[in-house]
Amino acid sequence: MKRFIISGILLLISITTCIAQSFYLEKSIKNLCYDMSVVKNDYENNNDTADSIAICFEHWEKSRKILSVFINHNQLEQISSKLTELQSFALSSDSEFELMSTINQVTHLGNELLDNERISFSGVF
Amino acid sequence: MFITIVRTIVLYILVIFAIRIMGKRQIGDMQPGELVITILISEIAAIPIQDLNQPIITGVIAVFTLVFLEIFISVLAMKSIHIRRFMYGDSAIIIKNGTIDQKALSKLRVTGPDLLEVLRNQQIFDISEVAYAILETNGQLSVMLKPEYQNATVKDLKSTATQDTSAMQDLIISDGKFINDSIKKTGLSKQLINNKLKALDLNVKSVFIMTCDENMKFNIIPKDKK
Repeated sequence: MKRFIISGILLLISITTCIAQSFYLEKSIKNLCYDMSVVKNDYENNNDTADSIAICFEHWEKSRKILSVFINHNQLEQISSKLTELQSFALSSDSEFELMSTINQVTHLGNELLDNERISFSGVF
Repeated sequence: MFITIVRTIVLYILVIFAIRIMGKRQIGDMQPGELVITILISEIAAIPIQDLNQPIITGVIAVFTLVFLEIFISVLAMKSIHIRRFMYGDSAIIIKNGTIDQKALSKLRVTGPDLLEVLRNQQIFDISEVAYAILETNGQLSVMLKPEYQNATVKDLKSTATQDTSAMQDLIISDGKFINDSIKKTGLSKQLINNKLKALDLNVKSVFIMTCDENMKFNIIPKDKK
């Protein structure tokens, strides 16, 4: 019975960790998508996007450090590298297409990451 | 590269912990389910060691879940005969009164030579000597010989076994050090042991092994002199 209780406690800790991770991931991806929409708006309103991209990158790096404890590092690295690309596109004035495309890619990668971590039929199988 | 060493140490401790929670059993004594879980745990633990992009916590959570499943199913198997049968199967009689049950053998996919080999490993060279041979759920063969081929016991010889020969021995000194748990168990005091050793011109550090049985009979093996 002692072993049963110990293993039950370990399972509960695991489940709690998974729930906490899901909430944190959801919050991080929501923030990322919001930051991307801010960058998009800034660009459309002819504001300077470099600042908003820098803030977005800063937010993401904070989240990434915690997320890397739970999530495959490759997936997080993909988003980070796209954000780095975004920073370079923001510096040049003739890369509208690349900038918008990268914003969409970051949003897509974030949502894909979220979908992969959700319990769903396609996710399980 | 150092991260691999750290991860390996963490996962090694985790796997040992997991196996200890599941209970002690040798590979050969495992039920099919236990063997599957043990293989799965070792495989899962290897993934974060090999792939540094994989967070270690994914392995930890998987191992904990498997440990829980194993213990949960074994508790269920204890409570329900149907679950026990489903998980571990039934033992099967394959030799009865010196006759092989060929139907049972083919059902279990055991060949004649395989059966003979297992019997030979148990020092049985003639099937007709066997009263019952039962293939247990863990794959081991239990054999009961016919009475005329069984070894004689003390009871058969109508002899009386003395208490001395059957008394359990406790290790009280090992490699020059007291084993406190055993000393407590036997009710001896260190003073008494020291006196006993002194009488033999020995001290604790010069003793390789010292045992004591329930009848307070000591067995002392001094260390070899270098």
